[in-house]
Amino acid sequence: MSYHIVVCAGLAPDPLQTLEPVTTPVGPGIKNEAMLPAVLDPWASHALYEAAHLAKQFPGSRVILVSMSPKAKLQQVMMTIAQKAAFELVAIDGPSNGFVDSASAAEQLAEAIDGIAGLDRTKLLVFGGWESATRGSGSTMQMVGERLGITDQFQGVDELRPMVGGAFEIVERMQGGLRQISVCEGAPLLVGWATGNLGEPANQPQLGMQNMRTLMPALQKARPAKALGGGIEYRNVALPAQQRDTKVVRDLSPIEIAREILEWVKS
Amino acid sequence: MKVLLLLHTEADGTLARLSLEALSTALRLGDVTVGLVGDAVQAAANLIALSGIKSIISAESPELAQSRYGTDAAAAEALCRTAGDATLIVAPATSRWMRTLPGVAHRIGAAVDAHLTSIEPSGAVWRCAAGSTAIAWKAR
Repeated sequence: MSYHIVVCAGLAPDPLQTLEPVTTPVGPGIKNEAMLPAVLDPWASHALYEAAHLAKQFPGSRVILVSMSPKAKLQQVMMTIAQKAAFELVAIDGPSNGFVDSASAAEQLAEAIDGIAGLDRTKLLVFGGWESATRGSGSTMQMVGERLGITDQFQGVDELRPMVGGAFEIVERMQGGLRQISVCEGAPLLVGWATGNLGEPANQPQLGMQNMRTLMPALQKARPAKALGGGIEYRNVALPAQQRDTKVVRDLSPIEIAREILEWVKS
Repeated sequence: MKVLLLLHTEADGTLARLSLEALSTALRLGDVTVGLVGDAVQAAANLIALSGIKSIISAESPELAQSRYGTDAAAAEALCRTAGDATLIVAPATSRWMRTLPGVAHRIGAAVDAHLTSIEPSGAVWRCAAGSTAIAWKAR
């Protein structure tokens, strides 16, 4: 048994950067966006590592990373990511700043997945982050699944355990710190990953060099994203206003701290 | 504005606090129909009726006791189509609805967004994006 695992992944600005929203001639954006260092979206990174781990357990499996992001930035990010896991790349040259409507993003991703040569729907597992670190709406993957006709969908997944006969046991996060454990008969299915259980793989330079042989041609073939409007008109984009002034007080007793918190909650 | 508020019951047949908050929000927005999904929804319907809402539709089945994308999406889609004249659908951001409703939005040709912090009767919303950027947008 083998799988065709498609991982949807965008880019996100490096989390250490301060992001300042600005209005550009083509709509809202991030100040100095082109200059900001980028990383593979952290949620999607987990999905990629889980995909690579699963593929190792089932020889003959394929891992295909589908990414809508600025081509030049994707090339930079691939230099690192290519050292961590073996995968093929399908690139769509488009924005990755969080201002694209999720329905438009889903349309681009689903079209790209549809166009993957030799993709076997009976072996198809579509992975992605349960939300992005940019827009963060947690709605894109479900629409990708709908467009591909996949109705076995799981979000906030921390564990995917292969079972005998092709089934999977899936652990999802629910609100209130709960977990829901489901059994799914098998592919095709869609998984929106939370953090999973795997650490970040160590860099393997040899794997990176091997990957880049196929990744560079794939980057050159990146097609530009189609219209991404999605019917949204942005009226304002701003950093949130500070809700409470912070004061520094030394040697306050726990009871006094508790009383102040209680007063704040009641107000 | 015609508003459809989609709620699901919890395992014990009650409504989560998030659902009651969504109910308060919906009541400020216009003429509300509540769509209830669950195993047994009568107790929740009785509670909602206390708020003065007269229009309640439901999808009730033992299969809806468990949170599952396929069944939840089918139930929510059916309720959206039944309340066909709603121009705004509001729902609490529970794990169950967060998993399901984007797919339902695709099925009925609607736009969808999450993590809203406020919504105006005009349909304009404020949302909080990752990276703590507040965004106001209005779907056309």
